[in-house]
Amino acid sequence: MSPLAVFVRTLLRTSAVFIGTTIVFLHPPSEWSAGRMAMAGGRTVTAAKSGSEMAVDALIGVMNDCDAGVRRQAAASLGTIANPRALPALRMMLHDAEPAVRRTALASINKIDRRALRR
Amino acid sequence: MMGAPLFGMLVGLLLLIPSQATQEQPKVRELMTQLAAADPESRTKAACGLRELGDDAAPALDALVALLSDGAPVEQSVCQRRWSRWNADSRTSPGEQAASALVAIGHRSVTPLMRALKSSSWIARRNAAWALGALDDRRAGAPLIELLADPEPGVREQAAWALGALDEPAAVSALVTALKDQSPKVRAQAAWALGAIDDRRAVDALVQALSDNEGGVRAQVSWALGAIGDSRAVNALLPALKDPDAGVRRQAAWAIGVLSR
Repeated sequence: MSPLAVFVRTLLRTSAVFIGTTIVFLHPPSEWSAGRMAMAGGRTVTAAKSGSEMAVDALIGVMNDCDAGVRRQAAASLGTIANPRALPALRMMLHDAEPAVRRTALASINKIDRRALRR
Repeated sequence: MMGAPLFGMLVGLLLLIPSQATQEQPKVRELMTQLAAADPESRTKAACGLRELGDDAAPALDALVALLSDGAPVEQSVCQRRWSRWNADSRTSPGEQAASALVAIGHRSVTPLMRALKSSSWIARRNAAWALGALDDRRAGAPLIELLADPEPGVREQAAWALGALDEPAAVSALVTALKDQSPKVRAQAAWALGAIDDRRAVDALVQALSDNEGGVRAQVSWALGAIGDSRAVNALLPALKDPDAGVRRQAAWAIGVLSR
């Protein structure tokens, strides 16, 4: 790897830390190039979102749903996908009015942590 | 020393077993006469009694098939044991209990039940379709696929369920057609069956059915897409998280999780 590539990678890593540490975890090295291209094009990182990330974002989008069953299922599914990107949302769900949602969110956080440790 | 009395007891037990079996015969005959009782409660009770006998109720097979068309509503509590069915309410009928007794008899019921699918009574056709699904016999596949074109929605719904229970891959194209049935119950049951059969050929049709105008159908379709597990369906499911129906959103959230793991 050329020194320039190493520099760009480090830069991306550190800037990603600012956006949220989670992003550093979840990208396998092969996706770095896609992320860099998106940034060079002046577009947001969403342009390089994988299918799983779109699913995670959509599920995070229902964390304030009026139906507790939907919120609980979203928390459970975020644990199934086990993408660390979901952690901030899941931590917020620990304050949900519904005990079942809080319980599921906690279980999902544990699931994601265990998965991250195994990697 | 102790061996001889024990051996004697064993022989005694073995002699007792056949004598008990012969005692069942009059019981079967008594219950068979009750199947023709005037009040629906007694008919239902007799069918339940025959179900408890299982295979020993085989002499009553024809009488039970004849009872399949009996849809007189009876309280569920007439039979001691709880029994449930898709969309079951607290009511049952002599016909339903007869179908249950035929399932307890086992594979000998399959041919008479397949004949009952051609009955002029739609209640008999529906109960026979349920029993064939519960018996899980592959011979019933082709006639049940034909039954998906029945004029009665209740029959088509039960046929779709039975095909899902049989796990019949040959039914996929007929069930895909049933996703456009005029009755929402049939469409929902067809979606369930396609999820149970778990065949990727159904994915495109199910994705289209996500825009069904009935919430219950959309929820069942979302479930089926998750059950089949083809990750191509995720993008189509994302808008379902904004569905006006909470049941659809819940089911979609589940399916999206399963498909993106």
